[in-house]
Amino acid sequence: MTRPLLSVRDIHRSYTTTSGLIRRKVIASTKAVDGVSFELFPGETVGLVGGSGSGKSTLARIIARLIEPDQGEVWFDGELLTEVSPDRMRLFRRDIQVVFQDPLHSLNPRRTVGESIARPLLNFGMPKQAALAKAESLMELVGLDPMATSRYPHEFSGGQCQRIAIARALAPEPRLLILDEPVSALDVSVQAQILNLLRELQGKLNIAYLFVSHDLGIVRYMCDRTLVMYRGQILESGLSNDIHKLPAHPFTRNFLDTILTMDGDERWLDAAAAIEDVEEERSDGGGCVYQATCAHRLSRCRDETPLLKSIDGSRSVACHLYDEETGFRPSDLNAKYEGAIPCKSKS
Amino acid sequence: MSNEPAPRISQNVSQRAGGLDISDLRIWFDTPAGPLRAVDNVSLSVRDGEIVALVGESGSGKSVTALAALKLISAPPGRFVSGSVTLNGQDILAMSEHDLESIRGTSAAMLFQNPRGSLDPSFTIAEAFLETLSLHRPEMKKAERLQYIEQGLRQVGFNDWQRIAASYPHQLSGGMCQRVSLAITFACHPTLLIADEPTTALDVGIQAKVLFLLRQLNQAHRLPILLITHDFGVVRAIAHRVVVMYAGHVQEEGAVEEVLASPKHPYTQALIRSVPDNVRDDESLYQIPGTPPNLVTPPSGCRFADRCAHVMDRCRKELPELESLSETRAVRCHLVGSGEGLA
Repeated sequence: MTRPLLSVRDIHRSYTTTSGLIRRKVIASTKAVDGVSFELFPGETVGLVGGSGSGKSTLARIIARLIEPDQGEVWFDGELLTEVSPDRMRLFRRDIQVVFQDPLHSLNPRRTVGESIARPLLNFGMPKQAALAKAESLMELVGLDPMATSRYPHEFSGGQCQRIAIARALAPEPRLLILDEPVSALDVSVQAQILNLLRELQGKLNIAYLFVSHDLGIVRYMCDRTLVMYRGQILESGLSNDIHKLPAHPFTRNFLDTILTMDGDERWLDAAAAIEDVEEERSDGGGCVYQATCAHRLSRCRDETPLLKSIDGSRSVACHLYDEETGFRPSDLNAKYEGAIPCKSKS
Repeated sequence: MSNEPAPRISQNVSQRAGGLDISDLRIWFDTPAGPLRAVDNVSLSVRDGEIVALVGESGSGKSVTALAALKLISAPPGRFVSGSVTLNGQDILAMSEHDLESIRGTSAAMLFQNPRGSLDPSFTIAEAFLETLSLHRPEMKKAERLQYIEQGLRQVGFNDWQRIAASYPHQLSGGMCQRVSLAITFACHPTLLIADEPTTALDVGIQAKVLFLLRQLNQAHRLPILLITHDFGVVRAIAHRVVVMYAGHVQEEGAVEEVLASPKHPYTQALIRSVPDNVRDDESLYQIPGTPPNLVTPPSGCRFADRCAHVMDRCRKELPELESLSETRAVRCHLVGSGEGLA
């Protein structure tokens, strides 16, 4: 087996709320990322899925070292990224690039798009003429007119700006591209263009993608493997298609049920009724993070935090239902949906 | 504002006939390059108890159409060129700004996309609630108002309503703010709710919750809703009828099941096909080539012609009429009626 490109080990990060003008006092602390570990291999696409507040974006930013973790290690290509010197880190900045959600706001409005795309190249010492020429070829790569490099971001549509942001991220030839909700702000038809472009580019350039999204449908389409996050923890991981067909964690099941489909399935209604103010119940005690709303709660879920364990092949779940003695299987969880897959594929 | 004579809400409520009727509406925006035809000959109606979805991508004119229902278009640069908007039998476009104030919030209320942006950050939820009630229901006693707050917040699923009422918007999540906005909006008993992308900024779980509430309000109170969205999943979930807009024109309309099962307009077909749910992972997503036309200089023929997979010569020269196929169904396309089959 090849060596992982990225290896994340037991990452923790909390955000604190402070009060007081002069003597700052910590009045509350929220665990945004709470003991997350995973690996990502060269050329692979891994999806990081979760609702708002699940910690998926914080985790993505820690990997790009835009914020520091409280605890834990990020290894990239055999080197401990969380401890390399700033000089050495500069080299890794080439290898890890990020594309953000809002395309218009992630481009400098006062720079032509050519300058924006060339910027990372100039940063790494490429002469200006060569950088601008490369910017033109990158524009072409992402499906835009290479002659448009002298125009400004406001002259482009949202979808075009996202193409430009992708071109800029690709400029230093990264090995890992972190895509933080890259299509959430776009119209459906434009969304399709960007997703197709990303898949096409991956085929050409063999880059690994970490795809952060709240949309399991898009993640299934884009990603080989999926990690499902909730309140800072990974509750389930496995092959995207497996998770989509037969989710193992009760949270994933509910998350899939809330997806609206066009076939008139009304499962979302029950799922919505089951989300009884989860957002409010943020007790940071022990036990499973999903216990408050879980329909399958056991007595031990209250005090014992379930660990992410492999249940078969590539699938891992953090849930007490799968403790050996009970013999519970994912099919038991999905028994009432026999034969029904939330988002049907066209046959 | 509270010094002004209060409108008698009960009178408005009693004239509950009609709902919303927009007919042949044209709204242009004056730009240095000439007028931009944002909304062109748009007609639509929302009847009692009905949820109508207005679908289209950015720039299609769907939000402008919805804002026009309450004359919330600033003029200039906006211009009502022709057409009419009738809300509960009243001619909205002919009304003065002063009269409109009494209608907004009570005859028709709006729910916006960004829930935090529509709540004032320096007021608690209770204060925001009270302000709205004192403006629209000045006859109410204090105890009654408090009861209203409790009822309103419980209705949108907050059992610990006291805590929510004492919170500031920044202490609540986006989904909670949207539910609070819905509670405040609904407290004035609007006879029509206009929801402009109410769930676009929310994640799927919370989206389901908000849509669930909208549907509940619609069913329990026969509240008509005009729902602006670009997501066919949302349309399928709660709407009864759908109106598809593109480049300022209505391109297709009909009952939701009908349109989703057999979309007639190539644009509707393309929109439905570009959703990843319907695609196997080894095929690429269907994408609509090109970009929408510039509406300052719109093409003389069909506005979708340049991006259409079935384009004919005629489409570039002649603008197709919005042709009725049945009582509920209408399509603006030369292919429909010409007998040629669609893929």
